[in-house]
Amino acid sequence: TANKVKNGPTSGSTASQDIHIARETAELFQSNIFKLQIDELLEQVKLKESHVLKVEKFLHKLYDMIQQVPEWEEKTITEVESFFKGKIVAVPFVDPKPTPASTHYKFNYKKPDVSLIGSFALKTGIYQPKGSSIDVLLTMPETLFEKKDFLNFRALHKRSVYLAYLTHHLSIALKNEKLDGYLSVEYTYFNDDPLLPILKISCDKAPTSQANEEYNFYKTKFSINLIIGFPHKMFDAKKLLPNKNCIRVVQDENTKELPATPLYNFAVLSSTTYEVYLKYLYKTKKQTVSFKEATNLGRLWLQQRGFSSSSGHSKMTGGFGTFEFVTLMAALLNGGGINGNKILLHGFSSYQLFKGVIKYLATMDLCTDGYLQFYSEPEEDSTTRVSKYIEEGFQIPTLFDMSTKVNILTKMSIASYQALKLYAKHTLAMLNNVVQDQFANIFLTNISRVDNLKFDLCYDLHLPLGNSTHTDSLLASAFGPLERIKFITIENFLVNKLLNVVKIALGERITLAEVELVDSKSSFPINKRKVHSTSGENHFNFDYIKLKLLVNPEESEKLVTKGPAHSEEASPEATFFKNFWGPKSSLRRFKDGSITHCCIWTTSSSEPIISNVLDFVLKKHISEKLIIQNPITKQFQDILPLPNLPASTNTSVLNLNSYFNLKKSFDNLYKIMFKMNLPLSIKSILPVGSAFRYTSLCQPVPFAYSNPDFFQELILEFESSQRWPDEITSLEKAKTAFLLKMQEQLQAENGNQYKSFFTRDESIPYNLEIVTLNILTPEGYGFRIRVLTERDEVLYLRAISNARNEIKPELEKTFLKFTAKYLASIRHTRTIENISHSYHFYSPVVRLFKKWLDTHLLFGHLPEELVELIAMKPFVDCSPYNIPGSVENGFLKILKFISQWNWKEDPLILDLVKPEDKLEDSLETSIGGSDLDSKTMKKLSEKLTLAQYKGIQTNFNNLRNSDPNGIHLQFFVASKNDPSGLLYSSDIPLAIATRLTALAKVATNLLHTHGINEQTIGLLFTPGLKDYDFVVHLKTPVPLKTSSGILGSSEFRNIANDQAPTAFPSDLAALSEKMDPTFQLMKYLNMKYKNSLIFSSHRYIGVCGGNKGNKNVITGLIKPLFKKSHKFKVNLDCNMKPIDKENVILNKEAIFQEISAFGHELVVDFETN
Amino acid sequence: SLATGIDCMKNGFLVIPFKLSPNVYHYTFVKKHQTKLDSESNGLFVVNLPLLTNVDILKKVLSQICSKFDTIAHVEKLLYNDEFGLDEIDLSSLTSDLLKDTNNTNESRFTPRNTSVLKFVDESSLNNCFNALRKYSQLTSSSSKKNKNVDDELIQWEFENPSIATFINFYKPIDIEYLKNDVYEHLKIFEQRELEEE
Repeated sequence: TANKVKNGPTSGSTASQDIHIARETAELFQSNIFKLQIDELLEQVKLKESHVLKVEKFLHKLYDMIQQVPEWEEKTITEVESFFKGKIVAVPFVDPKPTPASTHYKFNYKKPDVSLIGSFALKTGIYQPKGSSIDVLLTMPETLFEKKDFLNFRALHKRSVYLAYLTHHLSIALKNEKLDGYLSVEYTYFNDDPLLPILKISCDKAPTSQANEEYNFYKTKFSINLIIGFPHKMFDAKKLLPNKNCIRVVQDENTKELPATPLYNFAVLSSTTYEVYLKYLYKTKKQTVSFKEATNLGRLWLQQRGFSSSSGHSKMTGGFGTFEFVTLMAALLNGGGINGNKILLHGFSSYQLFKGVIKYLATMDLCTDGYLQFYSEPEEDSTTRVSKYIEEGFQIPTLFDMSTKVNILTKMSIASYQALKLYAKHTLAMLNNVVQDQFANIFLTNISRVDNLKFDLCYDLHLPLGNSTHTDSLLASAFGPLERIKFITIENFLVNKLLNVVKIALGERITLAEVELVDSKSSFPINKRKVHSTSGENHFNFDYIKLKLLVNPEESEKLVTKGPAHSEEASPEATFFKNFWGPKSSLRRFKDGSITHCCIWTTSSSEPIISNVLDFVLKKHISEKLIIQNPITKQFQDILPLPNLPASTNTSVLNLNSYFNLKKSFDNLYKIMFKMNLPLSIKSILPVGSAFRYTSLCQPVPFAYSNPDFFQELILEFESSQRWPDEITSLEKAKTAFLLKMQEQLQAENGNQYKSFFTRDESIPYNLEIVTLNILTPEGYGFRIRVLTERDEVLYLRAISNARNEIKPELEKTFLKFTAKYLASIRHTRTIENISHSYHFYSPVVRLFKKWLDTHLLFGHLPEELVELIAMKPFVDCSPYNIPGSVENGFLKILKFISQWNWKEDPLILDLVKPEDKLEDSLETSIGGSDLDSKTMKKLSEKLTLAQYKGIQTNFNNLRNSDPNGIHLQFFVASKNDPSGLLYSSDIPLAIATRLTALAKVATNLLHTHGINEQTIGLLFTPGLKDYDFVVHLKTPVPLKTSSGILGSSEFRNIANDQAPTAFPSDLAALSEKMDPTFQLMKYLNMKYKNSLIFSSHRYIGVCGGNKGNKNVITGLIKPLFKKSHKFKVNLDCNMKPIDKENVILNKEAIFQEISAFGHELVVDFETN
Repeated sequence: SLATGIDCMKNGFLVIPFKLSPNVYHYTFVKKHQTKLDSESNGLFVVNLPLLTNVDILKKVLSQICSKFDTIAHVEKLLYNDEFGLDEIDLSSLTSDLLKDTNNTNESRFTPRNTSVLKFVDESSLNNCFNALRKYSQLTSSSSKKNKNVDDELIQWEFENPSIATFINFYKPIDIEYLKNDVYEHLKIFEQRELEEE
């Protein structure tokens, strides 16, 4: 490299190389940290040796009992039926059950070959809180089969009888051995596949002191699966390839070929290969140093995302469990690249193995354009064959074993594959994040626990059977014989159909759709033939269906669903479109002159367009009787205050026009101001008001001047000058002199359109001389201008250095306030405005969060910027979830974050950047990577670097060293804009911070225990007034709702519209009549009693002040220190009464009198708790 | 209910109760102000004045108490009564190098929150008032012995009730002529001072 430098590389490439090295170092560091975390985690989940010994004891006993099952003689189906007649055990025949008329083959039972398989055999199991299962394989002897038994369920039926016979004798043996007191057996479908009934033995009673309990393995939480396998190579594997048909059904049209039966073929073929894979994985384990650790990382990763080996055809997180993960890993250890190059090496660490598999899943297409082939058995020539990626897709997820002809991924549906790939991509991005520690997000957070956090929108679909007794008549399309052999179950068929319809209908509006069959069963008693599904309101094996969506906010609220272009002769696409959409489809001419088939939807403030689309297409294509429920989205959206603007009920929550109108009004004013002729010319006028960043609780509405956010703040700077007074009062007076000049000119030149006036400003403590210029625009908006000079900062700093020590902290706070208000506010507004265009739901989510805070009387205590930064967390730092795509999702994630934020130990460090353009961009790693292009360079430079991140962490550590319990500062919230982390949170009372945490905890617990429904959401937005020491109820003489620009409840909407102000009063002093007096009362109470009491009230009386906006409360909390008596001192600073000659206590009664006197015309009631 | 029998705190502060409403009382604590400053001489150090107290209210209440004990006292002014903490910190003097030289900021006066100094016109006024207050403070203990109704003896405190107009006045525009004048006057003085300094 030294040579290179000499040769004079461009400065660009040096920088890129630096970043390269920095990244590598960071990654190495990261992987070392990971190693420690992995070791600790794996230690925690280790299986207990005593548990293993305990269950092994029973396994030996079980082996003996199986050996003692008497062999049988060949039986016809009729003989089998008569054998089981009157016995407890039923034969778990798969559908369709064999009939004596067409069943000419024989059934039998001969001793099986017994062996352990699965993770218990491989010794890669981990402790699972809910218990795990041990797989015992019983291979039926070859003599029980004929070569053609793979056809038409024959082998499966033989197995069902074999299993029933075994079950019959085992249950007798359990009874004889007196084990049936604590052991029980039931049928269950292996991996939820109804073609694979197995016997499950579980131990469901804890040992009592009685005898014969030596086999009681209750405490180990294990259960045992008896899986009946077929002999290896029993059937011709080529005939069971995924594209072959093995179920012959009679067809009407003989010309048509029978469809392939991949699910059936897999069920038969995979039953012959259990031991093959055990050997394959065992061999790989022996060769691979960190095999076991990597396996368990994969297992944990999958579990936290809800993935398992269960069938993915009716469950979106199925078809890929630990077995599939490990098999893929084994294949990648033997190749996997396009040329068969090795993706993983046997010496890799567990971190490298895990990351390698995740990267492969994230970046290689195993469905549409390619697949991976591998060899589980060495071929005849005994050389190991390499795995190879083949660029030719089968349109189904494929990991093909050339040795056994099994497609390991058969249990995956396309939908479940897409879900898996999405999670892999997210995880790879997390693994590549060298700045923030993502370990917990990858392995410790169970993201599938709460649907409303994992998904943006959730719908419950009910299919009531009604009077009909036939499920087919319920569905819009038939489940005929051909569908049956392809999908095996009506549930698989329905899920497939549903997903297809949803995908076609919603298209780009969503990024992922998942379906869950709620209450679907896979176990049944041994006296039943199959799972009985008549329990619900339908005849399906589920109660209802959950449809869960990830929304693409960029497209989700588009008004038009575009179809193919119109042509003279209807194209097949056009015909399909018309048929699919029926009466919704219409022809439209677009601006560019094209005529296109399309559907037009209408937006609503209450519900997303997706809800409308689903309601229409699911009724049309699934069932007219289908009931679609999603009450929570509407309820959450309706909590947002609706602006009193034309058509606001038909305006999407994503629509920001009300904000754009305000910005236009500002632009006009800006032009006028820049033309002014002033002694110093204007350098800049920068917006800092919350409406400029789309975060104001109420949307801007013209003339709605009761809204506390009506006057949107601007910071004005003049060209630099040495002449600003060197003393703060005079400086403020000089600023006012400039504002007076501006006002004069505005009045003279634009006085017919613009009105203006001055008010005092109290935002900086102890600076009582700040005056702002308020301007009312002809469009109906208000702007408030404050002046910033280069002298301000100097003077505030000078005040700190001149002050005596006792008041230095106060002055430091004052300086922070100044910095926040005049300097950081500009960066904050610019950043939030800029990135929120990429986080579409940020605006409604932060507004809902503000409403929640104001409902609970907290908003007045928290600077808006702090609230907005906390609300930004789920967007810019969404891992392990997705960026919120609905109001409820974003809001619930904020609550979850706050409820779990241990602010004593954890800083909140935000990387305020837009999301990666495409996830793929972040996928390439620097190791062996190509040159970084300029775009990547730019992105790297915008994001927080490791050094910056560490710097912020150091700031936090220093802060906590001096304030370990967070008594003085709780919320450390830092970003590039504020590495100090304390700009917006230095002045929050401890009680308020802890109350915020407590309220979020209560809220999440409530939702967790009682679910998210109308009642719980209602409770979420009900203030807990009982928690305060006293509550003062206030009523203002003038209602402020309509003049705050908020639309009332539906019945009065038209009236509200009429009453809304449409102009400013001609006498500007009259403006104050419609402003909130309770805010001033509250402000002065807090000033007077700030040492002993904390007062809270609603800041937005138009939003939280009842139907008319004329109610408020002031609640009081007595600080803990003042709940007990004190020695009398002159500097005690509280209203006190003596209790003896030395001690005093807070004089509550007198304070209540004072408050009543102070608020005398406003107070209507006084409660003490 | 009334805290009886405590007329004086151990550290010498008289306990002065006022009736607010039945069974609710406010307690103010007073002591003679010790100072070397002329500007604060003849003062009474007062702790915990009721809400929105001003010098006129105090004059009225104190004259009631004095007359109860046949004496007279003349109040001059109420110093450092900064109930809302608005003047706790004087940013102007802290930021001005000019002011610093003439008036050392480290010496600038302050009293703790919730305390003030009530200045009388002369020493005899102070003494008269203080003696009256001492007798008044003893009412709670002495009268209880005589089994008289103390409530009748205590002064009823009348709060100043701000009206809604008071609160919404904060939103009212500043009179422009006033503002112009204020700015003009202030800057004129400031410039003069700067010139003098040069």
